[in-house]
Amino acid sequence: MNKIYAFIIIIPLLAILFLKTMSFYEFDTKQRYIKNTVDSVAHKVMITGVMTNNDKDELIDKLEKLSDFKSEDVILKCGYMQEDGSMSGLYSYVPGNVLERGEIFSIYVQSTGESALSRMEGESIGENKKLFYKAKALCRVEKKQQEY
Amino acid sequence: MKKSSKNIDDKTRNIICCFRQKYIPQNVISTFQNERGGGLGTVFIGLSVILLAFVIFINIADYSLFTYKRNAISKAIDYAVTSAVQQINKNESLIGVANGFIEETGERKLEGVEIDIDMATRTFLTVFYENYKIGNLSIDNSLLICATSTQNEKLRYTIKADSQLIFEGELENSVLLEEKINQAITQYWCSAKDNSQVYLNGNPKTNMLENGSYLLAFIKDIKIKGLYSQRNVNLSSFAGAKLERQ
Repeated sequence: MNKIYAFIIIIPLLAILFLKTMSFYEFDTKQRYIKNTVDSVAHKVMITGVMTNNDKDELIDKLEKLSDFKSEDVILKCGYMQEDGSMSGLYSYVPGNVLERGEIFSIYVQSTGESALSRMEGESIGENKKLFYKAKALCRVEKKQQEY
Repeated sequence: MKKSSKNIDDKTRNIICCFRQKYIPQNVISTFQNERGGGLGTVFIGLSVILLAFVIFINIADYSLFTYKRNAISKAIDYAVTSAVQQINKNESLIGVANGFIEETGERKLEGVEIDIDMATRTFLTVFYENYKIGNLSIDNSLLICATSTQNEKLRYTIKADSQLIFEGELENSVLLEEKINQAITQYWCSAKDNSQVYLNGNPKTNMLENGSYLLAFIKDIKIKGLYSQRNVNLSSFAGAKLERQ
């Protein structure tokens, strides 16, 4: 009988630990994959100076497989680097526009729904501290300049 | 042979018995030896396994968070250095058809394209912080920048850290730059240990830098916090100016 009580304590504890581990592993893996995907897109724009509509659709397809992402969750911006080394205010980038060497391209994605880890932790991480999948990359177009 | 092994077993058993009687209270021993229950023993072993699994999980989570942050910083440095290398100082660079071509042969040359190192540093910091803004991380005082250019087939270099000029000069061969950068690191951070070194080339034939306009950024001792532990990391990155004369 004592052994039954023992298992009543141990098995739920092990189950909780296992579930928390799994949810953390899931969040970590997906977050890394999303960051890598966003970095790949930024790198392509850095070299070519353009992000096409197909590139954006492809990106959303990849992100949708991981979590709840919609078209408006992908925020694309561009701008200029000022002479003093600071950045000008960024404005919306329309896919297909060709950026010139030196221009800034920024991409930011954030999932609509919170992650499984966040749902599991519930109120323990705070109402305003929900964990979303998000990633950002900001680069400067560096396609070869031919007139210098 | 069997006899001797039996003797050893007896000796070992005696030692264990003495140890038990001396150090483990009798009531604890009787609890585990109790044939009716043994539940406390199961709980004890079970909790130990859970505690062990919990410690392993916390350590993995800690290292995982650290590697995620380190990779994000590394990527931010790459973006920053490719942005900063575009800050060409047009006043000091050789511009124009006459300077851009070798008059005898008509070949294009990329000599004399100077990077504005102060502007490059500011651009580097702007782009870095835009890409990585977690906690109170500040790299302003941990950043060393080296800019190179070619003049008369020699490699000119400028090394600065925190707006302070450390080294400036010319080298016959770009292979020698690694040594100069490492000297600058040791000079600027007196406490620099052997692991604070930059490796640009394994040997002269695998040199990563050629004679040209390059920018190298080295960040010393970035403090990256995982779940509970904090590690110091040195990161470096370099990029070419990717210029071409028509």
